[in-house]
Amino acid sequence: MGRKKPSAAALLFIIMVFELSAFVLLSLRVQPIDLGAILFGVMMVGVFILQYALLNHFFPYIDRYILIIANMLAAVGLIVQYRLNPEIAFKQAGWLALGMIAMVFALLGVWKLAVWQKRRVTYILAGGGILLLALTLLMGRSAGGATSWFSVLGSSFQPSEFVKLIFVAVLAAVFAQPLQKRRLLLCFGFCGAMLGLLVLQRDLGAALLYAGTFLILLYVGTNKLSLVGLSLIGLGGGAYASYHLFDHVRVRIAIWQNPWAAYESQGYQIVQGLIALASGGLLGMGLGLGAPNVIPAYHTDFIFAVICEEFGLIFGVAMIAFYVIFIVRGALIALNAKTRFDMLLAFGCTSMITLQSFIIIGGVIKLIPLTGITLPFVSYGGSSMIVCMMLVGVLQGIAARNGQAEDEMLEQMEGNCP
Amino acid sequence: MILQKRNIRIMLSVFMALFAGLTVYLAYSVLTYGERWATNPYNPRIASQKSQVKAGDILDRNGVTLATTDAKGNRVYTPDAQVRKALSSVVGDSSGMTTSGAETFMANYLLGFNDSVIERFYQEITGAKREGSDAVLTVDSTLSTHAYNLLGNYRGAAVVMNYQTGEILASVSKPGFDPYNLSQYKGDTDNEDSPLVNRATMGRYTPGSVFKLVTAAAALEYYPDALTRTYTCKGELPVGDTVITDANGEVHGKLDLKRAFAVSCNNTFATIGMDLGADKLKAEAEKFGFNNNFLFGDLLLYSSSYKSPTKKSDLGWSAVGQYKNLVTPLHMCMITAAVANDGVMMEPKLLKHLVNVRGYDYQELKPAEYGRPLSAKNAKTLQDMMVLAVQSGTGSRGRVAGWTVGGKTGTAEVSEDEDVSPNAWFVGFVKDEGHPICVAVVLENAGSGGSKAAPVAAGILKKAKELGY
Repeated sequence: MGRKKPSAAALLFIIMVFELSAFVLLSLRVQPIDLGAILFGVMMVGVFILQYALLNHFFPYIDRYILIIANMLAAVGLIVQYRLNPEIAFKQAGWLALGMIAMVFALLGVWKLAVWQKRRVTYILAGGGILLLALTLLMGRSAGGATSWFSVLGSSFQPSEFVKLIFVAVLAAVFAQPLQKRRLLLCFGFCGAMLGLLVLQRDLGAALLYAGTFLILLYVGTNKLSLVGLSLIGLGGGAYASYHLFDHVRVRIAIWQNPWAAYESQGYQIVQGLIALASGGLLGMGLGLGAPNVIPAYHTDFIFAVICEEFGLIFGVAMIAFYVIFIVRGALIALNAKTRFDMLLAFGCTSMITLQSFIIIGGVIKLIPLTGITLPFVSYGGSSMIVCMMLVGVLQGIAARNGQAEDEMLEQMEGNCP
Repeated sequence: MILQKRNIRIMLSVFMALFAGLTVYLAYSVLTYGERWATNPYNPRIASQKSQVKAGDILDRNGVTLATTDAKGNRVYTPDAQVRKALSSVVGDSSGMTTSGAETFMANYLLGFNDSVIERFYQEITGAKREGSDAVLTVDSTLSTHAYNLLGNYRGAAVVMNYQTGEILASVSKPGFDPYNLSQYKGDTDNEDSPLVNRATMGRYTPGSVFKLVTAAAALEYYPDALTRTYTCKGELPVGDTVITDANGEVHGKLDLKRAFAVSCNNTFATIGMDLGADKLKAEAEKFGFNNNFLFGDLLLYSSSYKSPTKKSDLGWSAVGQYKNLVTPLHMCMITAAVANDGVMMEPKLLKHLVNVRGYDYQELKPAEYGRPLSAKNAKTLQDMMVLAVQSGTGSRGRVAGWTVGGKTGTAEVSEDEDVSPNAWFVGFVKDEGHPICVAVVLENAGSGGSKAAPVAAGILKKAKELGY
């Protein structure tokens, strides 16, 4: 145990008060008072505090702010879901618990296992990733216009979420090594196959996310602008081709340009989202006083609009600020990394969260064309929640390695000059 | 790894820029368009709020109730059918069939969406039936009804404004509708001829010669010797393969700008327009608000358009308000108001103030400047030209005993077909700071502006005088 860290108790306390008062408000909605809401809130806060204390005790090197923000965002998600429908909040709480466990496994896996950049492992991961996506395309069922769901043991999950981890790990492993033509070509082939499969599944949001992460890691890892330019041309060509090949891409662009013109049909979701944003105003309608049920996908893709409607524009901006802090902390972990692989892995995970939150918030507020993906940590969805928590786990694993290495260095220095 | 770390820092800055863009766009779009989105008939919250909240009253500036909610929660309108119809375009309807009326556009006040969180929480806890605020409009229902009747059997619109404050004293659209009898118009909302279209704010008309106000302002701005230059009108002005003509084949002979304005000489104004060029004319029109996406807090006003012509003859026609120029009556009234108010264009205002449940007035009208399209000196010159046009020009039937009225007529050709009568326009103002009234009238397919629209405007001004404005 080397350095002393400043306490985050004040921040935790404020967040706790916010969360508990939200659940008290929710409990007052019905007569007699809904004690379940209060119980749910108290349990949620209890679990968060317990998790935070345990993780800090067993893994002293982890980045506490990332943990606090992930928990805070998940709590906002649970509050809104409880307000929309307590049943989905219960389910989501279960997914969150699974996610917390998965996070610890990811943390340990990254911290203790040194196999992730072995060539054989990379090949297995890459092959497995392509296989998973291909199987989804062949056997999956579709929801929300995309064929990206897979049914296992009665509950469906979304492989494109889990493949995110594989994708980042493979790219980090490739770019951590010196440039080599054969390896690079294989990597391009891998990414091309992934993107092709995602577009065929009509999962445009995921395709955009993967393409962006690929470009970022390519640039950061190889520092070759010519390669980035070439990939941009390739991706641009692909985007252009898909615009002309697929109707659903053209529709997305058209309703982005003027959703009001197609209010009755494809523009309905965006228009209702915008109306919800506007109805909330600066301070919001108040928790439970809005009418978010009119927006399709209100608890998943459009949860940001619901949050803005009930909590207000100011809170929406605060949410964006939380993501920004998360991103900065993630980038700091990458900057403190001791090996290229760790650095790229940490920055890849950070980029995933960055792009995902940007793409969906930007889509909901009509800054960019809407592509349906979840808002990290907040939206309802098991696969998304577990994978987001695992991304946090990977970041924390690297933070733990960084901290450990720095402590060892300090000890060595102290040993050298007594 | 130094290069990679530098790249990470660069990417981090890119991420920050992306999120800054997200925040700015979110705040900008909600603060700019939010009110418009929220008060849209598509917003189901308005309908659901109606069942829970007692909607506030809509009153005219003298306290006459135009719409109220009875004990059963039904919307009740003023009992006089004439008044109901005359004010229908301003008041709107509560079922969301019209988009621009106060019932929809001010729904956030009437239904209490603007209540503070504390107020809402209090009402939620006490379980009292919530009540929205009352909206007191700037319009005078007596003047409005009179104006509506004066439009006679023509389709069209009339707007009366206070040019110093921007208050709209009357805004009528004919035909109007009866809010009690709306079902007959179902499915008719997009039809141009529908009574549900508010012609004063959504009707985009060819301005014809009333546009000469803009061309004259441009001449005064760009020609230092504008008032001494002379023009010769031969009745026909050949440009390329076409000829720009004057109404009824009139030949005005040698004349200066003031005279040309008074007799509304097409040859002179087309010559000025072609000499100034499309860019200057377009810039002048845009200073007056053409091509601008009006975003006023109190009302929905469709934008007017001035498209730059490429052909020289089209440029000439556009300078006399033909070609593809389109303008709404309210906007034309604002342009007149800018001239009358010594070059300062005021924002149109429709909301005088709100009265909350406890009887307190709030959100009192604050006059706001929209822009300064012309200098005070040029505005005064233009005022004199308009007075001359009424005293000894085409607008002589716009005179009002006891007031000095300035005005401009317009006879806008709307069809190549000789049998289709032109739209008649008249815009005018009272040159007296104690009675800062201006008016815009358009009558569809009525004939010449001087003979048809000017008397209507004069009648409206006479009524305003009678009412003490």
